[in-house]
Amino acid sequence: MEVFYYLVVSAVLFALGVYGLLARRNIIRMLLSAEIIFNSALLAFLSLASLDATYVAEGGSVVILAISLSAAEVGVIVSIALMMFRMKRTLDVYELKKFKG
Amino acid sequence: MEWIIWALIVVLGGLGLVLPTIDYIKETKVSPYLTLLGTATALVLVLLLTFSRRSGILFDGALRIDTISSYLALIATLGAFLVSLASVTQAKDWSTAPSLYSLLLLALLGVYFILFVNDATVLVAAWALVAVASYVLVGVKKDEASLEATTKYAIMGVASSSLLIFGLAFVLGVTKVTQLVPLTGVPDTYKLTLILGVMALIAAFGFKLGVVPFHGWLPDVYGGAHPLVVSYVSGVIKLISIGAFLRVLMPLIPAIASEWFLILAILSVITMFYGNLAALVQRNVQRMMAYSSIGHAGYFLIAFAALSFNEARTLALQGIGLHVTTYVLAKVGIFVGLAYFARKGVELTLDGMSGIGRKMPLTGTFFSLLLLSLMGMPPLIGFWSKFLYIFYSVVNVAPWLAFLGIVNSGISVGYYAIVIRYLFFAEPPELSIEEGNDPELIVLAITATLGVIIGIGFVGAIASFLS
Repeated sequence: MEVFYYLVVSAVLFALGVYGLLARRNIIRMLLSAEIIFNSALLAFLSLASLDATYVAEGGSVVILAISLSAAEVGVIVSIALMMFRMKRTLDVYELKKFKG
Repeated sequence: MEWIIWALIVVLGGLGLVLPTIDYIKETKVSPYLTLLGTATALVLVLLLTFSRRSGILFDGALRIDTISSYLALIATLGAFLVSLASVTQAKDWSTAPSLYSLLLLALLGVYFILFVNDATVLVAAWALVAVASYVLVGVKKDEASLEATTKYAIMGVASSSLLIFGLAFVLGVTKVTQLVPLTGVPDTYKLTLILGVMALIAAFGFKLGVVPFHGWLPDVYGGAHPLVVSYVSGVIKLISIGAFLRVLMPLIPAIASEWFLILAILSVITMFYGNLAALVQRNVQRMMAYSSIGHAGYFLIAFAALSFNEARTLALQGIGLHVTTYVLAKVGIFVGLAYFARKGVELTLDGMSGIGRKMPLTGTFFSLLLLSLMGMPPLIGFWSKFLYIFYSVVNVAPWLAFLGIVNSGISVGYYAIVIRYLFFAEPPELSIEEGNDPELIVLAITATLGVIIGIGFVGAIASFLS
């Protein structure tokens, strides 16, 4: 039953991340919220993988690759934030010309 | 067959990694031509792969090749070749052009891996390659419009990647292997987990495909970024979601057939109506084509919904293959055509484009042929793929879905026809005219001619090839 508690933590993190993604206007804060969602997914993945003795190692390899995916995405979004700050002198996504929602 | 995959990795990956180094350091301008060479080589290799009709498992179960996936890879390569042909003149003055070419090649490699994927590890790695490359691709022009588009695309993309991991967590938690194996049935205790996982995966792939309600980014990206980049993102990179639907979700359908049909049918109806109705009120043609992409995502979902019925499966698979052909030819052609108009100083609104067809008769004709193909006018390929394969596949199992699809085709005539009307039936503006050796015009000619030729004679041949 321990897995259940990990899944609850993952769901709480997911909810926090979605709230942050919808409520924040600063691109770095949005990135942090999106990363919280991503990490809640990794937590759910690992806790479900731990249920099966043979699958847990394979599942772990997927998670390690997924971490590299998230690292690549963070790199790109931070460079987008840099580009935005150079062009607009602000990190507020609402300042983008037609940005809606 | 493994040597073809190795050759693709070496040609596309090698060129993709080397090109920026050569061009930025030596300050040469060879990357457009090397990219053309690379995509042409890839086209030959994938043609070999497709026509050998080999199917089987490669690299100890990491990749699997079958007819439809190699056919989709062929279409993706054709699209990439055409986009790189058009970018020879389009991206000439961009300061970041070598990066553009490098990303085109690397993203194409990732698209192949997703089309051939047979293992969740490969899926995640290839997803990283394509997704991250496409965020940069959208913003590579570094102007304000592409900044807006890339911000939205990247943030939405991270959400979509998270949903992918969530979905894989639940689905693989049920199957307990990372290989994407067929699943014929699950115990009742696992069914809810499986459905939750499948819904997360549908959302993740739906983000990339532009399925309503996950479409929020699409009008701004397809409607705001540079049309050349959009032709690649909408024409080639979109195939990853179709490939992922076929490879990741199709093996799971037998375990959840009735729920699958319900979810997909509802999503397809919402998506079709939203895309086609929103396109009707647009005045900006590029944005209109963005909404038309959403409408076409709805048609693809009809075919995916039909996959849950044994009697409809063959027809639906043929429909997906053929409609991908229609869609890629038309979207690549149309967005390259829009980029061509923009380069000639035309504003991409209906009023700005009025009368262009008279001033640039060849471009206007090919552009209209592609619009007609998307609309579903016989004898162009769009007619056969949409009506006789996708809609027909659900006629016996869910006639209402086919009916709603036909209604949507009717609605879509409204906006495709109005573009053609503005193109030809208005006073021509004072503008520079087309030149026969412009690569964009060649791209339009190739896509339109292929659409006509396949529509007239080769639809049956392709369909029997895919079955």
